[in-house]
Amino acid sequence: MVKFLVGRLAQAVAVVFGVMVLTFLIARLVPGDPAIAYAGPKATPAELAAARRQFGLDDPPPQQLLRYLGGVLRGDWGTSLHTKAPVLDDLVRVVPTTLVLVTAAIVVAVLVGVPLGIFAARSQGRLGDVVAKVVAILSVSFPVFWLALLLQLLFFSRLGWFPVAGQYDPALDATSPLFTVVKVPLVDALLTGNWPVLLSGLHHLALPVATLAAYPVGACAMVTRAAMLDNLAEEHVRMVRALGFSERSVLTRFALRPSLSPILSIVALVFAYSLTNSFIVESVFNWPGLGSYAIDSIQSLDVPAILGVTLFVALIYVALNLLVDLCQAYVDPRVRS
Amino acid sequence: MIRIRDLRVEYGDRTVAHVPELDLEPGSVTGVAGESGSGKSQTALAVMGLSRYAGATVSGSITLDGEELLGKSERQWRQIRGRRVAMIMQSPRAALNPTMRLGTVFARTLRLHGVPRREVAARMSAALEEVVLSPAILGRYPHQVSGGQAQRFAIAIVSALRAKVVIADEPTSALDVTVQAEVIEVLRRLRDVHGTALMFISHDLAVIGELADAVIVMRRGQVVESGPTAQVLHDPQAAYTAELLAAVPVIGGRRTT
Repeated sequence: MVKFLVGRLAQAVAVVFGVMVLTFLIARLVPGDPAIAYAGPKATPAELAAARRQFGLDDPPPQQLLRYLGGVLRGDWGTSLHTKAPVLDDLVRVVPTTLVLVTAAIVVAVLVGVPLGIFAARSQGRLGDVVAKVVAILSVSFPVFWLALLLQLLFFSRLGWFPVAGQYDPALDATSPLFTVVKVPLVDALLTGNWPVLLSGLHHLALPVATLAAYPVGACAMVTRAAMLDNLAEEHVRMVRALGFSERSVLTRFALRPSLSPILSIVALVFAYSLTNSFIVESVFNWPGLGSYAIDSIQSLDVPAILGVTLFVALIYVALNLLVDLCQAYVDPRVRS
Repeated sequence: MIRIRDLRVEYGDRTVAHVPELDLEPGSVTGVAGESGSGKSQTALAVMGLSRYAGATVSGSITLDGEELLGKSERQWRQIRGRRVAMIMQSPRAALNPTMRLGTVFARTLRLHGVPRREVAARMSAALEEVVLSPAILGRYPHQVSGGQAQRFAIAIVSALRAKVVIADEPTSALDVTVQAEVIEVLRRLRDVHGTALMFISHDLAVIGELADAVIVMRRGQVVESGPTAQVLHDPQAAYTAELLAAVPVIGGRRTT
């Protein structure tokens, strides 16, 4: 088990290093001059030269790369050109909002997608299976930006059931002022017991989460269905049926457990996928999270910020995969040995 | 005990097994022989009430101590499966959940059939002793035991449930010869100690000859021959039985049976 863990950790470090080098190279290759982006279009040549010196843009690229890697390890992720604040501070500020959104979407995906997949496998070849498959295929086929607009059109414009954007109703600031703890309204409201803001926050969360959860729901359902069908055809399932277990037990206690490995893999995958999809969802629903920050950074050619966002997403991805490996080793003894 | 009359297992209008008459008696072993696709396993699934999971329909009559089994609901079947009629599978390790310790499956099965919690451990170790397995096996996963151990473990479950009828579907085919002999010995003991009615399915007439009191030979879903084992093996009436016998390895000019 220790050997397994050390091996996975070494892989994780290698992946993070590779991502850092790649993003650094790509950031150098894109057209545009970061010094102009920082100093402004009307800067004098002297101001530009000063900006270049300040960010070390005149040094040879390998030296810049080494300086960047060393800084990241020391917790210095550079200074954002458009917010003029340290990138790490910016990330700490914007990431929690995005994590709330993405985590909510993944919870929905697991709670809806996995049972949907089990149901489809149970009714394989019958009407229920066909319906579940159609739902799953549709939900992975909708482009995120289109689904976001569709949901706004239907549930805000037509039906008026949900707010169009934002994190909570700003009118509540007058009646139930919010104390900030982690700077995510929903979490702050929960921590400080501010129920009106919490309810409003959940109400505002519904449409962005529905948008973001669509693909994960479909992906989880399809993977669950396939894994369950594989296991339902196995002799160990026939064995527990022959021992007298109910079909419900057979599905949830005996066939689901060996199906968990692929389900865990897809959950990690759609989590990372949703993190990048949140860029679109946040801009459509006006959520000031990682996605909005990333889009601002890209538009202002803010290289340190772009690198920071990329590195952060890579770190999350690697950490998730590590977590999934550990969970798989826990649920499936065959992985351990 | 078990009486099968005019049993038909069908997929649509294709009959995959037709057994006109077959009785399983307490303390005796009935062999069912035939090549793959002969309808042996389909007959076994029908007796377990599991045909519907394979998409087949069953007609005719199967009675257990005079009680008709065909037409029972899934809920009624669950009172019969495991408790009164149990089954041993062909691939012993694949028949165990790969993610569960053997003891977990065993204990859950006993609890399911109403064994009080405080008696579970005692019942498990008594059954393991019968099949000559150490209780340490309860802490292992299927990939950590041998095929022979897994098969004896399956027999221990069946024995602990005290099922009166046991259907063994090719229980030795996946095992090598020395291990086959162990498993057959354990099955023989199960029959002698508990008076179990055993239906022993195999394509190998030599193995059937060692254990069975009576035998039916099936081919393409039909019973081609039946009778006491000695008579069928030494004086086969059907050409197909003779063919199957010819497939049995011969040592020193004499059949190994």
